[in-house]
Amino acid sequence: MAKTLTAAVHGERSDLGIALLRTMIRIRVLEEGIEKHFLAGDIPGFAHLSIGQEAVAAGTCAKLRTDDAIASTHRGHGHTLAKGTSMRGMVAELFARATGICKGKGGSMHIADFSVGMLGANGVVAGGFGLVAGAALSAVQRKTDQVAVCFFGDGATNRGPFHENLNLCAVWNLPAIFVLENNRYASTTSTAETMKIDDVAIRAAGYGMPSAIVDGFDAFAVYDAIGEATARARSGGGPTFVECKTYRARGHYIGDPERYREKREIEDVMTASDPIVRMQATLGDALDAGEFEALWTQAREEFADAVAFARSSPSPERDEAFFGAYVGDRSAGDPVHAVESRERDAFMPFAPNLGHGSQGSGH
Amino acid sequence: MSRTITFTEATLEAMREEMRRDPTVFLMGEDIAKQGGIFGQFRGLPQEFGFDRVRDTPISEAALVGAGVGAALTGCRPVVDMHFADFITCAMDEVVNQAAKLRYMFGEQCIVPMTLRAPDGITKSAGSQHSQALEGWFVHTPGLEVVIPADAEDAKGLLKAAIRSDNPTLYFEHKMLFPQKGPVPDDDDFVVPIGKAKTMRDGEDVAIVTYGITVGRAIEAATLLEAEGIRATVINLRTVWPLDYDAIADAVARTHRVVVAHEAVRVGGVGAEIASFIGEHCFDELDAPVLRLGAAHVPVPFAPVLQEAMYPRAAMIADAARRLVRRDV
Amino acid sequence: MPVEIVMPKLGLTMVSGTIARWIKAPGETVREGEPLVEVSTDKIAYEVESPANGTFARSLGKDGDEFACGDVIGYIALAGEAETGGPGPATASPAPFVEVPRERAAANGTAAASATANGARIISSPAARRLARQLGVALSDVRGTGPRGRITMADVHEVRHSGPAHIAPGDVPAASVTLPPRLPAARRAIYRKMTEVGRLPLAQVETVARVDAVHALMQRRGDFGWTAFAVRAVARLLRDHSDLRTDATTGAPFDRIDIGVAADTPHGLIVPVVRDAERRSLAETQLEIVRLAALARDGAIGADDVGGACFSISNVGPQGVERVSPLPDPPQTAILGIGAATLRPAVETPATERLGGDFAVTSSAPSIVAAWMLTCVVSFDHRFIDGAPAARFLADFARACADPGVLL
Ligand SMILES: Cc1ncc(C[n+]2csc(CCOP(=O)(O)OP(=O)(O)O)c2C)c(N)n1
Ligand SMILES: [Mg+2]
Repeated sequence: MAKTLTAAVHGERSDLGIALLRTMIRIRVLEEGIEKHFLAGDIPGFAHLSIGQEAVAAGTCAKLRTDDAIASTHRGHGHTLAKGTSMRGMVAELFARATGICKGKGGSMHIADFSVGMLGANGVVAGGFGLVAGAALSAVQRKTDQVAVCFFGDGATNRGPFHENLNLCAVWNLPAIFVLENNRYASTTSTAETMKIDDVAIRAAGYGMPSAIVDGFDAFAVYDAIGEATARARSGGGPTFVECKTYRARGHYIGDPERYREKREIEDVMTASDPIVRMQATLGDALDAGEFEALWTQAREEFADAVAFARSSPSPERDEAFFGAYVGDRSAGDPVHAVESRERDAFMPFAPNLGHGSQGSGH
Repeated sequence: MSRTITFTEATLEAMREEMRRDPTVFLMGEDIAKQGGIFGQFRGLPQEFGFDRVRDTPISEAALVGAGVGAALTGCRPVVDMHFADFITCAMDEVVNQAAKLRYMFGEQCIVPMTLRAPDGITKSAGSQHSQALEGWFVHTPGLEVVIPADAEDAKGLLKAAIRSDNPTLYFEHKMLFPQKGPVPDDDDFVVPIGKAKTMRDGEDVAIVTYGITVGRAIEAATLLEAEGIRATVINLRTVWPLDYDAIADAVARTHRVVVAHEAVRVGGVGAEIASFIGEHCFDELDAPVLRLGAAHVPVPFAPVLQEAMYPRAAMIADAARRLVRRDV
Repeated sequence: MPVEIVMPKLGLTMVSGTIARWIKAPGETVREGEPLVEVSTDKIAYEVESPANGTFARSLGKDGDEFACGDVIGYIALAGEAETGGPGPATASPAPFVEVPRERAAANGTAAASATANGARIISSPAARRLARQLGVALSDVRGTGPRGRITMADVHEVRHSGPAHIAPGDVPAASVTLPPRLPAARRAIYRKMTEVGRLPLAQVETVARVDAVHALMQRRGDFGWTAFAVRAVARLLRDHSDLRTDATTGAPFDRIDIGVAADTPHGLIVPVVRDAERRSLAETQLEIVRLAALARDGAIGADDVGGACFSISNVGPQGVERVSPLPDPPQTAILGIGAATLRPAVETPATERLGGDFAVTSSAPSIVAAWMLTCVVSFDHRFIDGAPAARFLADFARACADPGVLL
């Protein structure tokens, strides 16, 4: 499915290409920066990187409006950034700061930004299908032309919610778009071991849903396929399934020993298909070396600024832990506990290690 | 005689011994065979027993548990790994409406000797969807057994007991316990009986009734208290259903003051059952209210400072016990 | 609601009291704390104070009537209430559907004990309530130290050790002692008690008794030990040495010769009592001590077996120590401490005479012999007991050791 390089592009198409490239570079810089800071101990918890898959996030979100919805996965940094979330808000969240987009309560795996229609990363594989079906249903109920996009991995297509929600969206003609990032692996398990088909897209046929299979390293190709899908959805034509053939160039999570594949495999794929290199080549003369460098420089500055912002932000107040599970009185969460915890501090003779200030290494 | 091994090794020994002993025992789960499990808890098993008895599966929790139930009904003793306990939610029908109920509904024609292994609990910033302790739901579901090891000895003995049990048994293993070391008896046939608690420490001033990872925290608390002249009993329940009510009543009768602690959410948790049992059946033994410690009634937050504030650690347990003994409550 | 006037429980062994005299007459205005009625037991007379401001509305008994402890003996009507307050034919309110028989209310310890004299509900832990029932302690006699004054087991135990708060000996009420915060629960009662005892003017007399004869007897019979011997000897001597059994709460001697025996138990120091020690043989005394020790060790000792002693004995012999100077256990005013009987060098003076013979046997010179000896100490509250009577008592005890035959 690897395509030969497309010819250089011109005019509007080149402007779009540069925009896609900018997004992909920003994602790459963000992901590499997260990797570095995770290993340095600045970021607790788990983190899954999308290096190699940037074209899917960039190509898809470039076609969406801010009021369209997306649901993401555990591997969601790229989707979030591409949908319009600020790098500051994201990095502060990953650094577990009070200024994070989720106040430090979500972290990498549960990041969301409702101001840009980003309904959340998800710690549960296939957790997004229902949310997207519902968002699409909501657009119908409210009679808007919004669309809802679900990002998901190949692994997620073996879970029940995939099947139930594809069927539902198809039979109700909902404005949903299912964007599969088929990166050949689900954690340590290759797709070949968990399904007997090469193209997951054929499953869509089983539900009567149109599908496309695209080169997931080519942001233009993704953009075009999503263009068709959004047009169909906004005009009442129902859902579309878009399978993007792509590859995860890093471990499943940061720190993955990756015993399940050869290093060579990664090098081969990235040499042939790195979506950023690909786009630069496609743009040809439309983008000179200096402009290309400038994109990197801007992205790095943006990331450095985000890290500085996160670093200068406070950790959440400890009692914030007890609030926010319910609407209304903020203390409705667990008032007893909050009060007790405050009292406890008063006579606890030994300081419990609450990690104030230092964020610990986290894994 | 005993050896000191990690919790992980203890579970591996249990799996090896039971798989050798009974050819109908097999294991399935996501990323367990080739990779050896996220915590290394399956390492080496496929090499000994083959990839048919140690199966990697698609991400299909409902199918896994459903198939586990089916296999159990028809002569196998499957062990199904849930990857993270949180994902049992993806197979709730299979656990709650199928596994738990079939034997009863079908007039005892069948057994469901399935073991669900579910790594649970709060780890460093794993966040809301990878940190839960959900045993309360299953204690509330008639038909299931729920065991929760606290150390390497329990890990081995309870896993063997779970596999041998003819009932569907949930085995919640705390993620933070895997690397911890502890003594395990040499005996090949060492089994920890389901439904029996263990007294980890004896003291007459206060009893800490707990299970799972919180047992270690309670022992730490008891050590802190000892330095202050307060002697605490620590009861490791080992099984949370069926509960060892006798052991609980004994501890209450000896100490008259009780702290019940677990990492699961306090509201509606197993501790509530224990506290109300004490209230109903040990009323005259109580010299102070039963204090219950559990996680706050909020999802587990990501930021370390928030996470550490919301579940009972040794200092909080010691504190509760101290308040009881000093008659502050 | 009229406020109940209740027959108080003034000691561990008190089960009932007699109305000696109503100080106020029905209809009279009373202030809280004002003497209202005098009650008496075989041991003491006591003025019951009014539990409230109001009018003495009604008495349920006349002078000389006996009531169980905790029973209502009258009512105080609060301002604005009918002065005939309280249930019964004299009230204007309709008769209750069910009349609670007085016996039942009295038999039900919890009910009787769960309100203070002024009618307020007593807060106590369930276990404390049960313990109080077992020990025969009225909760109204116990000062709660838990939150909101809740009575805990330790508080009940403390009353058992020190007696009800309002008849505590000395000038210092038990309540005013501040406990060190980390003090183990088991030590609290003793801490309070010893703080009080420390303020008493205590004096001691000491002697070393020759006990060869007791030792030989013990070897021969094998059915008694040193504690039993001491209890038996002391019981016999106290009949005459009445000073040594003075009750600090009354200033007069205790009537009954009940002897406390300090016991070291896993729950701390407990002092079970050998009742009517005077009337028990040496072997019976031994059996009783063994029974009490077992109960004390198991924490199963009941109300009948503690409290109310007139004198105590502390024996550190089992620990192999030769001497102890114990502290009296108020309201007792004296205690005997004995150590281990050991072989020690003794100087024997020539015996010039032997009783019963018709000729004197004379030996040559004083000699040093190995003899069984016992160090004995009597500690006493000098406010009630002088040195000379204490010394006389001790000398008599030493004599009994030398010639136990008189006890048997
Ligand atoms: C319901 C559920 N089961 C298992 C997991 C553990 N898990 C997290 S990511 C992952 C692999 C997901 O593979 P895929 O859907 O292909 O996404 P990718 O990681 O390749 O982006 C697994 C098994 C989970 N998070 N949720
Ligand atoms: Mg994948």
